[in-house]
Formats: sequence, C-alpha cells, structure tokens
Amino acid sequence: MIEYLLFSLLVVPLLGCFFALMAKKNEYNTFNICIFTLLSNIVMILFLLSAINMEQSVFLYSFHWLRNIKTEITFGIDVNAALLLLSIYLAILISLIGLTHNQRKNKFEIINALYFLWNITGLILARDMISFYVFFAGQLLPVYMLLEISGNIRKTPMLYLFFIFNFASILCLMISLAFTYKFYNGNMLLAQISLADMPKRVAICIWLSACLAFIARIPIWPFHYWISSISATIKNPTAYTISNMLPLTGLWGFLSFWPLRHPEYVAKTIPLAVIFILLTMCFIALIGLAHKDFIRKLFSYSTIYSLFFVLSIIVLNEKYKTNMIYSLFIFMIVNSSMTTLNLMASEEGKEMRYNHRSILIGMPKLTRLLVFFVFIAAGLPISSMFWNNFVLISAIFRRSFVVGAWCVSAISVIGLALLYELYLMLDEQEALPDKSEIADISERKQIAFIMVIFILFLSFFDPLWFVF
Amino acid sequence: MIAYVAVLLFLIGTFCCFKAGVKFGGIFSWLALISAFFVFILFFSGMQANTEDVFSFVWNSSPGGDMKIDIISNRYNYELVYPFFVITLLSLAGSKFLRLEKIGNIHSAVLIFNLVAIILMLTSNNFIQLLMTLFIIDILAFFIIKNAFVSRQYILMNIVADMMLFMVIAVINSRIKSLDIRQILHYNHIGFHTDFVAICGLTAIFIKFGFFVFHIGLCALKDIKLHNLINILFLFAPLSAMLVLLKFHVVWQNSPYFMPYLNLVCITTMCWSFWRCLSVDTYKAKIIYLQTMFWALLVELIRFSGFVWNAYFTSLIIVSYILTMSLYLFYYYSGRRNNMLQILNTSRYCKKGIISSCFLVLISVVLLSDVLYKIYNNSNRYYIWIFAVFYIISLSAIISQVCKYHDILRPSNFPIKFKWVVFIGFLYILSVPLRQVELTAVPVYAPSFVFLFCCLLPFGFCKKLYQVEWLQNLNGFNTLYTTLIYSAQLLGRFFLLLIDRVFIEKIVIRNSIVMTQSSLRTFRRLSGNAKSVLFILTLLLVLLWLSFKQGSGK
Repeated sequence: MIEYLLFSLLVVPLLGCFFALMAKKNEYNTFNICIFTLLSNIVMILFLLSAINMEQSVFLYSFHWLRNIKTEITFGIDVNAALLLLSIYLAILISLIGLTHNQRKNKFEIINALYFLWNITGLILARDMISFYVFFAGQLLPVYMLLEISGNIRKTPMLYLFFIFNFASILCLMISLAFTYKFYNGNMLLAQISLADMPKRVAICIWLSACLAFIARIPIWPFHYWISSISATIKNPTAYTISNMLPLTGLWGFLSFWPLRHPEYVAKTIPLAVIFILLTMCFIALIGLAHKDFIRKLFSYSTIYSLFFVLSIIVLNEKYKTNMIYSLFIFMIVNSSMTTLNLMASEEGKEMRYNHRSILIGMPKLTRLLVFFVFIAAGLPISSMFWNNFVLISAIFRRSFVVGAWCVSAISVIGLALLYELYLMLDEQEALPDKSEIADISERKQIAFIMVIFILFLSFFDPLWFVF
Repeated sequence: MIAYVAVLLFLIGTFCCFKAGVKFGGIFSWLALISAFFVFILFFSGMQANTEDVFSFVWNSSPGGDMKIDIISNRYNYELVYPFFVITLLSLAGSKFLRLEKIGNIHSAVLIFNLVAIILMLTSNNFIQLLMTLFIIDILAFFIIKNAFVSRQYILMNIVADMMLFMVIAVINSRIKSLDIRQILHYNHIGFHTDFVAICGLTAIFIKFGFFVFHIGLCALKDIKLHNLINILFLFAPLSAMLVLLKFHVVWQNSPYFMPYLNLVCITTMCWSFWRCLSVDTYKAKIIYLQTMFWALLVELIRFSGFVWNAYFTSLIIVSYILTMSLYLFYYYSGRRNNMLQILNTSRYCKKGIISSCFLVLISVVLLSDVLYKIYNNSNRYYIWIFAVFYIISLSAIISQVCKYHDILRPSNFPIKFKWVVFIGFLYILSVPLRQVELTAVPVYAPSFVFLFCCLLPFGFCKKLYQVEWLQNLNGFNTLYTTLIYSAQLLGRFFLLLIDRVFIEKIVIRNSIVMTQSSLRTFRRLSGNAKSVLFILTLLLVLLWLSFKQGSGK
C-alpha cells in the first residue's frame, strides 16, 4: 500500500505537468489541473503520514534501474520528509490563491511550477545518491524559467548570475557524488555516506564539495546577492514562493548528508561554518532592517530562518530534528501566506496607483490576516513554531552561549523589522484619499486563509493533529 | 479550584467575543460582569477554604521536551491572583456603572482573557507557559489600545523586552536542562553567565514597567482613552513585569549587579516621576508618571519583604487602582479634557462632580496611608517612606491643580447631607494617625499630615467650614502652599524644559533617531557596493570573534 502511495506521490505532479501541457492557452484549465494535483498529493501525504506514524519508521522502496551497473534507486519516506512535503504543497497551494485572473491563465508559469513540484518531491523522497542528484539538478530549469517570466526584465544579468551559481552548485554535488561512486563502486544510500570509513583527503573533498553545493543554494555570504536581487522583483506569489524554496533544497541536503557523529576532519570545520552562518544572519537582519520594501524584509526573514535551521542541523544532535521540522512546517506556511497577502495588497495598490505605505488602511480584512501571520513571524506564541524555536534556541545556548546570543539577536531584529513595517503599512497619517475605491480581499480567499489559520492554530496543540 | 476559575473565565471571555450590535453588546458585557462576579465568589470561597490542588496536563510533546500546562492552587497563588481579579471586576463594573465611555463586549472579553493569562502566568511551573502568557498579555494590550499608530512604540518596546526575557529563559533552560521552573535553583549552582542573565532580565522588566530611562514606550500611550490607559497601567505589561520579577529574583539575586541596578533604576524612576508628575501639563501624562512612581515604590517594598507577596501589597494595589479610577472622575467631569488648564477652566462648571471625586480621592489616600503604614512597620526603611510621601504629594498636587479655584470647594456648593459625609470623612482622616500614637513612629504620620496639608490647601474651604478666629486670621498657609506646591511646580517646569525638552527630547532622542536613520540609510547604500559589504562583513567578523573570545573565557 505504502509503495503505491509513494510511487503515486512522485508520479502525480509529472502527470499533472503533461496534462497541463495539453491544456488550452488563456483558460483556467492549467490552474485547475495544478490545484487538483496539489490536493490529490496532499491527501496522499496525509494517508502516508498516518501509515508511517503508526509504524514510527522510515519506509524504503528500491528498484534496479540499470542491470549492468550498480544503480539501485531507492525512495523512502519518514515523518520528517512527509511533514516537509506537506508544508511545501500547502505553501504552493496558498500562493496559488493569491494569483490574479491573468496569472491564473498563464499556462507556461503553471507548467513550470508543476515541474518544480515534481523535482522537489523527488528530492525529498530520494534516499540514494543518483536520484538525489538528478532531482537536485532538475530544479534549476523550472526556477530559471519562472524567474525569467515573472522577474523584472532589467535584472537579466542577475538572472545569469543566479544560473551560474546554481549550475556551479550542481557541479559541486556531482564531484562529491562521483568521488563517492568511484570509491565504493556503485550507488550508495545517503545515510550510509556519513557512516562509511573514508581516506581523509577523499572525505574532505566529498564533504567540501557537498557543503559548497548546498551553501550555494542557501544564500550564505558571499552567495547571498543574486537571490535577494531577484526575489525583490517578483510580483507573482507562486514564483516568489518557489524561488524561496531553493534554500530549502540546500537545507534538505544538509539534513540528508550531515553526519550523525562528526568525524575529526568535519568537526574542525564546524566553527568556521557557524561563523559564516552567524555572519550572514546578522548581515541579512541588518539589510532587512534597513530596506523599506516589505518584500525585501520578507526575503530577509525567510533567509534568516533557513540559516537558523541549518545552524540547528550543524550544531545540534538528532534529538532536536523533530522540533526543527515542526518549526519548519509552520515557517513555510507563514512565509507563503505573508508573501501572498503582501503581493495581493501591492497589486491592488498598483492598480489604484497608490503608494504601498498605508494601503492596509483600506483593506481591513486583509489587514487582520496579515497581522496574524506577521505576529507568528515576529515570534509571538500563536503557533507551535514559538515553543519549537524555544527548544532549539535553548539547545544552541547549551552548545555555545555566544552562538545562541547572536542567533536570537538576528531573529529578534528581523521580527521587529517586520512588525515595524506592518505598523507603517497601517499608518493613518499617509492614508489614502478615498479608501472605498480599494477592493479588499474576496470572501473566497478570506475563507481559504482562515482555513490556513485554523491549521496553524490546531498545530499549536498538536503538530501532527491531522494524522489519524 | 484556580483551574476551574480559569476555565470558567475563559468560557465567559469566549462568550463575550461574539459579534453583537450596540444593544446586545451592552447586554453581553452586563452578563460578563455578572458571571465574572459569580466566578469571583467561587474563587473567594476556594481562597477561604484554603484548598490546595494541582491541575496539570501535557499540552504538546517532542523529544526536545514536553510542554505542560500547570495550574497550582495554593494559598500563595490565591493571594497573588486576588488583587488582579478584584481590579478586573472593578474595571468591568466601572465601565458599566459609571458609563465612562462607550465600551463594547469585546473590551470586556479582552479584560477577562487578560485575567486568564495572568492566572496562567502566576500559577505556571513551566518556562514555555510563562513565556507564552507574557507574550499573550502584550497581544491583548494591542487589542485594548486599538490605535495602531499610538501603540507602535509601546508594542515594539514590549516585544523587545519579551525577546530579552526569551533569551534569558533560554539561557537558564539550556543549563538546567528542564522546562520546570522549580528547577531554577540549580542554575545558581551552575552559574553560567549570571551577570548577563540578571542585567538582561532586569532591563526587560524595566522596559515593561516603563521605568526611567526606558519610559518612552509607556509615555507614548498618553494619547489613548484614559480608562484604557488605566487598565494598561495596572493589568498589562507592568503587572507581567512584576510577576516575572517575583519568579526570577532567585536567579538574578545571584549576580552582584542585581541589587544596585534595581535600586538605582527604582530610585531614579521615583525622583524622575515625581518631578514630571508635578511639572507636566497634560492630565494623562500625570497619571502615567504617578503610576510609574507607584510601581517603583511597590518594587522597592517587595524587595524589602524579600520578594514575597503579602496581603499588604494586595491592599496597596487595590487601593491604588481605586485612587486612579477616582482621578479619572476629574477628567470625566471636565468633559474629557487632557490639558490641565482646560480641566481647571471647565471644572468650575461641574462643582458637585469634582467635589465627589475629591471625596473619593481623599478616602483612597487615607486607605493608602494606612496600608503604607503597615508595610512600613514591616520593612522599616525610612527612605521608602520619603518616596511614599512623594507619591502622596504628587496626588495632592494633581487635586490642587484641578481645584485651584477656591470657590469650587466653597461649602455652599455642598448639599447638606454631603457636608456631613465629608465631615465624617475628615474625622476618619484625622483619626488615622491618632489610632496608633507612638512617639517613635512620628514619620509614619507624615503622609496623612502632608496630605491634609496639601489637599486642604485651598484654605477658603477650611476657613468657611471651621469658623475659628485664628484660622480666619491666618494667611501663612497661602505662603506655604506657594512655597511647597507652586514653587515645586515651577522648579519642575524648569527641569522639564531643561532636562526633558532640551536634553532628552532634543539632544538624546532626536540625535539617536537621526543617527539610526542615517546609519540605516548608509547601510542601505553600502550594501549595494561590494567593497563596502566586505568592510561591513569584516567588522561583523571582528565583533563575532571578540564575542567568541569573551564567551570562551567564561
């Protein structure tokens, strides 16, 4: 049963992609296919979660791809992977709610989104080197296409930079995996790489290449510039959410590769990695504080949290993985909801030719929703993210006081920056001349967001409340 | 029992949240008041019976630690909850009986939810429960203030304080490896960054109290409605700060900086608030400074009692609330004017209202003196007594400023029955020092005397009431009044101009805003330039290295 579900989970987005390709242009068919694909996979993930949770183990499914060469492809799922997948699907579903009528009719964008969805599902389910690499590399194309369509045309050089960085990351991962393949004469499970004994130089080469590959995806300094410049120009909520999921692939890479027990050669590099992460967190927090756009602050917020999760993976042990995944689940949903609501407000403001500041004065329903999500993002205890973060931060303090203090400072600064910007968006002194002209969020969309709030609220009591 | 009370209150609050029109909203808030009163009777009966029980359940669990909800009913917790329950009831009743402002059912719901949060905070044995309630109280304050622009500074400052407490609790939790607050004493044996924990924690609670130099957030609230302001001053951030102090003093006391820092800030706040209360020219700002003075006084009193709550503090806080509500009446009868000059001009047209407010204030101050006297007997610290006198002088100065025109307090303005009531009231005031005549405790009578001295300073009233010849011929009181109150006000205004307007507002705040804005602007420009980014990152790297070096040394 689980095998079929796993297989369907992987195949349905690809099938959706093919169906979408055959759909008519300038109609809502593609959008409907996308929604159907997402919903069907969400239902399957819920079934899988229930099945896995009962057994409390990792389910693996392997098959031979090529008979002559040792290429046993393995897919697998555990509670963490299922939760992460669920959060990704929910985040994309939320972003689809925010699309305008014209954006919903854009067939090419939605096909790319579905193709990305297939790749990221594969990446999270992949348990061996080759399939992991294939899906890791496969994400570049749809994201590049999406950015080219939805991003600002003047930012073309940035787009090339984005492509080069990501291509380099793919090459780095290829080097790492090629070395592993050569030394072990075949495809390996990801979990076995960290357990295997390696010659020191080979090990350093493998770990360094893999880390560089994942770091390039997470915007750690000096790789941070391209993603912020591109993200700030995107006006399409789905494209923005997908581009912000690239750091998540790096995060998942760390989660899959990072050894449980640090060998000596890896342990030596940890302080260096921690310093780089903290440096980037503080720098991006300051950028978030300094910039005036809400969207840039949102980008800073998502980057800082991604780095915080990477820090948790590097510094903490296996015991805190569940807390991290619970927190990540809420973070994905909140980030997507804030982005979508903000882009919806900006779109309305742009249509009415009004300044973005104080636009929320004319949109009381949207304001209430945005306030709720910003409160969660700022670290207020409205969802389970609050206490999971508390457990993680306490554990980081246990490892190092200085790391914990810098980490909390960066998180607090970006939380305050978001809150401050929200207040500015509610500033009555810059109120619009006629508020009645602005259209507030529609009832359907409001109900959808209330359902999201409901999910978050119930997760406060039990993060896995939807598992039966 | 406290657990049942909390659940019942939560249900009442939820019931009040339903959207109702103007008419039904009023009925809902009446029902909320009545049902809250019945719950209070239940609570009171439990308090009398002195029942002890523990209500605990695991809310959320993970390998990192379980999150529990604990509600512990014992004598100490009953005594702690009691004053805030009474104040909430008084606030709910005040809004209905006195018809102060148009208050809907949502307002009642927020107050009741706040009480539930206070109960959960007081009875918590879990760090996360404590932190959650701390944050929830701030969120509820956001709903009470309503005005987003006005609440900006207050909420942001409180969030900063909450994040500081978050960090402090995370550090403590990291060492004791448990979410249980009862394990907190182990932290003293481990002693990990105790000075940081104490200073950071104390700074956070000072921000929440609105003590001097952290008073900007609280003072920003001077533009909200006065009854909301009073609720904020008594039931929200300052109260949560006091509860945090009561819970964490055990850890903070371990640092040598704790006592000097606490003393310094409390004494500075009392002096600063005293001057500001005399000199500031808006009524709401006066109330804010009066209240910060009160909290500083209370913190000092609690410190002398060894950070243990007792019945005197309960009385003190309730009396203080009644007093502040009585002061609200001045504002109400003068047509909700904020400027002192306007209040003064309009008060003459509502003499009876002002007189009755004066009477309420008098009674409250007498009660206050009584409680302070009892606390004084326990603590036996003279300088606290001086600050208590400061507090009462500030109060009497406010009354004197409102009732400056003598004709307001002319006996002909009194109804005959009211004259008798006032007369009996004054007899009661006079009896306070006479009840416990001990020559050694002379300073104890000071507040009553000072109060009499200051409040009866509109001597036209005394002269008309007591037809004594020597009193009729005496003009020295006016001189004393001018010397003590008027010159104090003048001096206060001078300091206000010099320190607050010129130094703090124009130099410190203005320059810090300009510096922050310009540094942010510069940073924004620099972050686009590769060389500048390298420079900033090098700076950050040096800072990180220094902090790592400092951290590894401990």
